[in-house]
Amino acid sequence: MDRSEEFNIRLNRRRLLERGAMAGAGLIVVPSLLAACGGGSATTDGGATGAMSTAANTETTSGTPVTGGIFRAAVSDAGPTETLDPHAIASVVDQYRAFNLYDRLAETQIDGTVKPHLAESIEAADDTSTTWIVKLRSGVTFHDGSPLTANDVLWSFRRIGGDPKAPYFASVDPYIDVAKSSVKDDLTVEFVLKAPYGNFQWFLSQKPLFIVKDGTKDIADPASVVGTGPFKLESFEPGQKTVMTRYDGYFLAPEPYFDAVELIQIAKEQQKAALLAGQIDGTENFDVIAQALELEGNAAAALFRVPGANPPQFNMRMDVAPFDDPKVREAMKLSIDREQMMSLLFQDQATLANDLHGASFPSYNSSLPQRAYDPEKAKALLKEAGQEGLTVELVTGLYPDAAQAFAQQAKASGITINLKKIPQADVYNTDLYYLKVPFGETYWGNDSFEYIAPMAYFKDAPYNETRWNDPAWEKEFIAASAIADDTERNTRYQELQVPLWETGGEIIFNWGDGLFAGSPKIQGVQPRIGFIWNDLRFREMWYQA
Amino acid sequence: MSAAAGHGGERRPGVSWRGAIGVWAVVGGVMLLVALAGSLIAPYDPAALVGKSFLLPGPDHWFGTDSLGRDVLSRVLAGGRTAVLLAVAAIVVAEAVGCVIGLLAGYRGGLVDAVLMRMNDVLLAFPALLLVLVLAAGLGPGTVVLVVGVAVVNIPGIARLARAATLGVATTGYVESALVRGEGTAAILRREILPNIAPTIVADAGVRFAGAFLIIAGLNFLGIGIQPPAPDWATMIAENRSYITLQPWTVIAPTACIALFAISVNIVGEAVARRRSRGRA
Amino acid sequence: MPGAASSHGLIWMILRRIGVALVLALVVSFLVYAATTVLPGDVAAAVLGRNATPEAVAALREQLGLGDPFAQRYLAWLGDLVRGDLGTSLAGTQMPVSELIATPVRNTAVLAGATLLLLVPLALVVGILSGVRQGRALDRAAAGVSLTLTAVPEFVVGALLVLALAVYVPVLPAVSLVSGDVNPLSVPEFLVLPVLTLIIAGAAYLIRIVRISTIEAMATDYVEAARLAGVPERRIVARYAVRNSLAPTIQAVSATAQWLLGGIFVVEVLFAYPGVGNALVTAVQVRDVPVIQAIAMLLALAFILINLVADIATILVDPRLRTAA
Repeated sequence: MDRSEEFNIRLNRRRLLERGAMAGAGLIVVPSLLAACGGGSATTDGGATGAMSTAANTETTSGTPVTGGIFRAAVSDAGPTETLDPHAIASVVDQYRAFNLYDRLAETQIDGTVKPHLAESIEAADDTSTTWIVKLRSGVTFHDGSPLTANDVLWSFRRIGGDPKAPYFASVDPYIDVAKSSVKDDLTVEFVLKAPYGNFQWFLSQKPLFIVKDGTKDIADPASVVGTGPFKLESFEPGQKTVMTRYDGYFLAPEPYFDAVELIQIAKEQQKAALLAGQIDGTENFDVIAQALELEGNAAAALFRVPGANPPQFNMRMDVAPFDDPKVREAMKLSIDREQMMSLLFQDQATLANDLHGASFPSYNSSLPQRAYDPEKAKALLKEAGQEGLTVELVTGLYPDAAQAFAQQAKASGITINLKKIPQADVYNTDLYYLKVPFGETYWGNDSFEYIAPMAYFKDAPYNETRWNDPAWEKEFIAASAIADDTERNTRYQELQVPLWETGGEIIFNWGDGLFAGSPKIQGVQPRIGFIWNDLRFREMWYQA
Repeated sequence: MSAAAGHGGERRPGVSWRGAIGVWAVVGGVMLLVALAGSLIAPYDPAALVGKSFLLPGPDHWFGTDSLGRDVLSRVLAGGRTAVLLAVAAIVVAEAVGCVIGLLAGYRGGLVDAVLMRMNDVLLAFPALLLVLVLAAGLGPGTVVLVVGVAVVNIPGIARLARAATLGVATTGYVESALVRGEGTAAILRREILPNIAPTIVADAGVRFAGAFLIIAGLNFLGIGIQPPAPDWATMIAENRSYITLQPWTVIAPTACIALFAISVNIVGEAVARRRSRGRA
Repeated sequence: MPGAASSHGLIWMILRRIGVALVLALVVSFLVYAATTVLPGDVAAAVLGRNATPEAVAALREQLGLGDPFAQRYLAWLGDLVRGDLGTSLAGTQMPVSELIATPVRNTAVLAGATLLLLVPLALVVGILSGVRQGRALDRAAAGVSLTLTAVPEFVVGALLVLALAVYVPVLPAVSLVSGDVNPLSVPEFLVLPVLTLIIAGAAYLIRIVRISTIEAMATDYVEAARLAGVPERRIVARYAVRNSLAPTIQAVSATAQWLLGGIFVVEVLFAYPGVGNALVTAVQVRDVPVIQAIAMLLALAFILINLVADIATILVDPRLRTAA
């Protein structure tokens, strides 16, 4: 497979991972985000589109967990690119599986903190933060009964970070020297880093860093899928259905509670109907929020919410006219009506976004003024830039409604946005559009600034969609990442966001809530930053007796 | 029983039947008017985001709003014009090209006739939509391919009709005396033949216009023609069908427009054709 | 026996028809290839749009082989086609086209087959009854309804059906759940609406033709003579009307099958049915040229084949046609 193909695959995988954005370094859940239960009024004009929801089910813990039952979850992107290899997760359904068949060394908790998971402790060997000692829990077993050892951990990291062709090489190699890292004893691994890293515990909780069994020959073969996770693989029909059954030897007993989890391929438009017909027990995030809200008060379904899981994003390439002029970029950012977008797109189930990532993490700079819709100022800026009556083309495939609304709103600034519609699947096609179009779309999900920065803002980063190019800034970031003290590190991160906000090429206007539905018998689903279903932790859920 | 079987199955138009045709003629006329001039009476700008999304019909929005909070009534009023004008353009182009081909083939005969008619048959053989889709592959989606594609689809039929009509006229005395006078082909075609076949062609064009409009609607529905956010009946049906349970009027309104237009044209056209054929027989 | 002596001529007629069909196929292949690669504007630049950097355009032209002279490209493409190599898709996954369209072809075949299986008998029955009881209630009703329905485009019929049967009286799913490789026959409820839409749209046309040929058959001398001789009406209908309208009916059915090839686009898109119609429309939207070429040729060949089979069947069925040149 040639370089561009391989890159393309990697890219699509990353993109699809972001769709299941998971909390990275979240330490505290910002209260304002949890309050995003809508403030809009019930609709008027003789009809109702569904009252604004304050009642969307958030907490569902009642009573003690009960074992039993099969949870049938709908997924909509099973297909030819599915894989069972957790180090090559390429689609949402891949994540659904990997998160439940395997474990990582650390995991984000419901309050946003990161705690050791497979590990018992993760500590720096000394003050330089370049060597870290990871001690594993004892008594953890793989699905075939064999014990988890340090060899498995080292082998897993070498698998990802040792082969330049590996899909997530870039997530590990710049940081960990896998060759120099070693096994100290059965349950201890010493990680040698290439540069100081302050929050290594958070690093180990990242999405693709699953621990697989040392020496597994063909990891993508269903017969050799052996993990430490709460469920084991029962059957796998690509494009149709996956069945995972409870692993009774899971180290976090009494979890999991379900007897089995089934992942069933159903097109998104059909998931709501399938749920109401009793064919499934859980949907994915609704594309059209209004349809989710219709389920309120419906006894046959429970509605769940993940605040801020849905930030649509438009990107401008800073190295291409007319967006190479910071005045033009600012004018564009002022020409989008963020409040109206919240109302139209999310039925007010959203909060305003301020063109920066990671609003729910402590590294977020919330002191910057919130940008608002200001066509007059935009017009003035364009005039200064000599670009009055600007006409641009927006390549859109992910957010047709948002794009059309933006085009209409920008008219007030004298800007004409022509829409070029492309299929959703081609948005990340590196041959055609991705990283090429001057003005396009992307999706990063609700990830932290520090998770996204190395992938998006470093000059040669693989996903630098806006072509942010500032070597001094990069140095600052690396220096900040080396700081061990959380508060100081976050302050430095916040400072780094100022130039991004002032002159960057990203337009992030709303933190839309993710709304999904399921059987009313489901318990244990909690509102948290993340993706869906407790960040795919089915092990925490059960059926009411 | 055998008496009632009759010949040809023609119904003698009773008063109620004529009345029905009359009603449909009015409907058709109204729809055409709406299509052409509807935007003049639209309460809102069809592109403006004027309300909350998915509002059901009410005093401010008679057909409610769509997914972007645009007034559905205004979009419907503005949604017929482009398709109608494009259909007219397509038929005009088709008539121009088709008549020339048919006239030449019918008048000249011989090799010219054979070649032109063979090519005609090939094109006539195919489903219109497939033909236009293939053209759209080369020309790209947009209004150009609508006009060109629909024209190409209609040219063979027009050419065949023109040829047949020409054959009917070419052997009359007018043409012979023109030849004796020493007039050239072009002049004969223009002065003697064309005026005589014109009524047939024009009547046919009327029917073809309706067909062209429907093909264009189909193409818009498929996303090959008029692109959003431009308002167009068929495009609206395509855009809004995923919201059909939330706000069915976003689909009902444009559907009704196309249906009424199509049915009225068909019924009136059928009645006119029947009257002409009876008149001739 | 008429026609017996010209069995030799019969074979010759059939062979000629086949020959014409092959020539037609060739001409169509030329037109399809030309239309998709020669029209104004460089295809590569068009596919890439405004984002065409020189390297990207060059790469794509290379991939599509656009540098070579037309004749060479056309013959190469034709050769590949005949050998079954349909090229590689330009879209995201870059799958071989034959792999990409294999399942859609099956799905469309199921849809078309189911439609014809229900449509033809229905239209025959209604058409013959209408023709036989000409002028009476059934005939008038059928004529009125069909007049209305032929007017309305399939996607409008489909949209109305969805509103009626999936929204207001929610008995059927509004959108096909036929995803992945699921065989549509195993989930028949998702076939109901698409098939129903096609039947409603296509029945009118077919009923009309059958009706008219039935009427003509009933007006022939044979039938008059049989009536005068006292043969029961039902026997007349069965023996003369039906049999003599067989040839025109074959033509009509083939015409309907051909119409179906055009009708599937809209219906498949409307119901998100994963067939070749849907695949072609998507390919056109993104200018995925190899896929467009492959599906267009496939449908064109199906078209020609249907015509050919209908022609041959008509010749075999109707002795009168055998003497026609």
